[in-house]
Amino acid sequence: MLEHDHFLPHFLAVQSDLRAFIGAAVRDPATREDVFQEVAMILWKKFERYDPAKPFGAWARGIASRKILEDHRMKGRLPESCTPEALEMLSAGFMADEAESPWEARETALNHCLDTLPERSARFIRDRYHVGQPVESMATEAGLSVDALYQTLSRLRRQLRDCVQRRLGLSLESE
Amino acid sequence: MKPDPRSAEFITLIDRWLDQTATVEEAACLWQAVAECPQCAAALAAASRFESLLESTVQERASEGKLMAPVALPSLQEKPRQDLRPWRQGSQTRRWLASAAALILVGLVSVYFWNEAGMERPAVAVHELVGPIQQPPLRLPQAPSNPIKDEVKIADAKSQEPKELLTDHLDRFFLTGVSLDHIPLGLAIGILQGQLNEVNRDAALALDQLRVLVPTGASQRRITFHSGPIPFLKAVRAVAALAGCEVEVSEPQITITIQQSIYPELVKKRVLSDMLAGRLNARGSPSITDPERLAALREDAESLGVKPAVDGGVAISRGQWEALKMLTETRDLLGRLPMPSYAIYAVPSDNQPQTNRVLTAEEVDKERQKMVAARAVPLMTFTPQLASPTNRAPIQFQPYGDTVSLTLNPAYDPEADRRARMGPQPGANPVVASAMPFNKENGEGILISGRHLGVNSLSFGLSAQSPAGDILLILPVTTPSSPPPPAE
Repeated sequence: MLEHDHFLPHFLAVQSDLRAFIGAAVRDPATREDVFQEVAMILWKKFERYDPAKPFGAWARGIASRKILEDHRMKGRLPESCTPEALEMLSAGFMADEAESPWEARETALNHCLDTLPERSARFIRDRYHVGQPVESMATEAGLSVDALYQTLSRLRRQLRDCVQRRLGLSLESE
Repeated sequence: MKPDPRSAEFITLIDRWLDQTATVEEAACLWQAVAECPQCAAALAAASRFESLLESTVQERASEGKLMAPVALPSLQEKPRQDLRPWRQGSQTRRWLASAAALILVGLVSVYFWNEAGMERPAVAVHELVGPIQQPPLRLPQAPSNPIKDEVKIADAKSQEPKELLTDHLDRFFLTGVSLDHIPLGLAIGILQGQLNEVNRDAALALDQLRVLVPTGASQRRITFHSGPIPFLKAVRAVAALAGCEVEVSEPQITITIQQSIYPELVKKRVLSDMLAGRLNARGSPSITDPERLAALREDAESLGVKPAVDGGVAISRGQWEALKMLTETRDLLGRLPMPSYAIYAVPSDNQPQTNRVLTAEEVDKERQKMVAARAVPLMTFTPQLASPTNRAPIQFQPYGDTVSLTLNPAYDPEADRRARMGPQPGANPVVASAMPFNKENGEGILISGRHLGVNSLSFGLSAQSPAGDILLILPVTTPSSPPPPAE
């Protein structure tokens, strides 16, 4: 049986990925945080049942999947096609992506890539991901249409992801 | 038809889902693809993982002052509230499950409800309500796993003014210790709240009223902070200060706000002993002339990563100074706790139950009379020291919420004497905890069975040895006088 003392290191190691996994299905940030907190509590409670021979991240995502489905399918927040099988596939996708490069390595690479952004692009990223400014008001300030701004943000994300991939020496084709 | 995960259409579909602009049909189509096509699932996983990475990295950079664009936090504060995190306004109710320690020890889950709609938000950017997350693995002796009632009251809640503020109480409500290593501020506050819930497992405090708000812009700032027993609010203040923040207390809410200065903060030269100016030690003398207090101050400074120079000067940041102040105030508080002495007698185990237990005041009286009649000489008398990260003694006083427990560490090994390594083994839990009601004529004692110690003797590093098979009686011998008045 595992001591709860061992929980924290396990949890800290996967918490970013776990939040991202929940975020893949639960798009509202405040709701995502609520689900994340609740899942963290469930993991804590059930930690004794965790089999240390298996990856903690996969176990945590399994529990998160059930929580997401229980809470959000019933409330109609998820499409019907977001099934347990789909979340299982998504979990496998996370495992593959994590195996390709751990979070910390990507974080370091992303920091370098962010340093290279032109000022206007950096401002878009900051306003969206730090300030949490609505795209509509960002578009008005920038003199762009909302669609154009979404496309700009999408392009910037892709640009940054490519930059990170290059820095990590990963093939862009692998995505 | 199986979608092509590399196609522009599918990538756009993922983007629209992540941007929350996908139609119902598009969302259904995406998840259908994820269920049927591993590459599609991998593509969504990679995109979502990157989105999350981007969000956390950007927030961390902003909080560390690595601004990607000419932006300053003050300008954020000037923004109208509706411009900040609009999604939060749509959330009517936030639910926070809590009480990690309760989950460990008694399996209880506290549920917090917070209606944001009626909540007056502080002026500083956006705050997150932090709920207790988990209990850190403490390096200190753990809190008693089976606490015994009638512990010493540091501040008896029932005897307080009826309208005592919760936050005032939390300023002297002790956690057993704090051990945070490079932990983001938001998580650190959650950990402290988890510890608070554990200590408050008898629900003496109405913690469901407590709100702790952490600014989003600072929640990812990582802090390291270690201390022995420390009141909850002082720990929060220390941790917040180390993250370049300040704490505002407005009953029943604790709001952490970003300090308007460069972060990481710049250090400046100060005289370390200035921290003790105007303070009195436990004997009522000025702390600044007390070598023990000065040594303790240096120890506290070093625990914060501050190295005092030979001339007593230190290069210290505002946050470190504030955290040091919290540690110093805690020492003042601990110094005012009454500390009774105990006598240890070894007695034959005949007719005595072989279990560790607390002796009631009546039993203590009876045992005292027996010892007097038998002209028994105690093995030793001693005053237990307060628990701390460096205290390795087998018996300690452990401040715990509103009480002080006398705590026996079970893993004490007499062999450790030879290795000059007294005290509990890592991870050991105390088997017995009791306390002494200071203000009563007759306090409680402890009966310790050698069998339950795993050894037949209990050594205190000097000479106290009980014959094999005996039990040990630990009886209070003094009634301490009233503590000196507060230093401030």
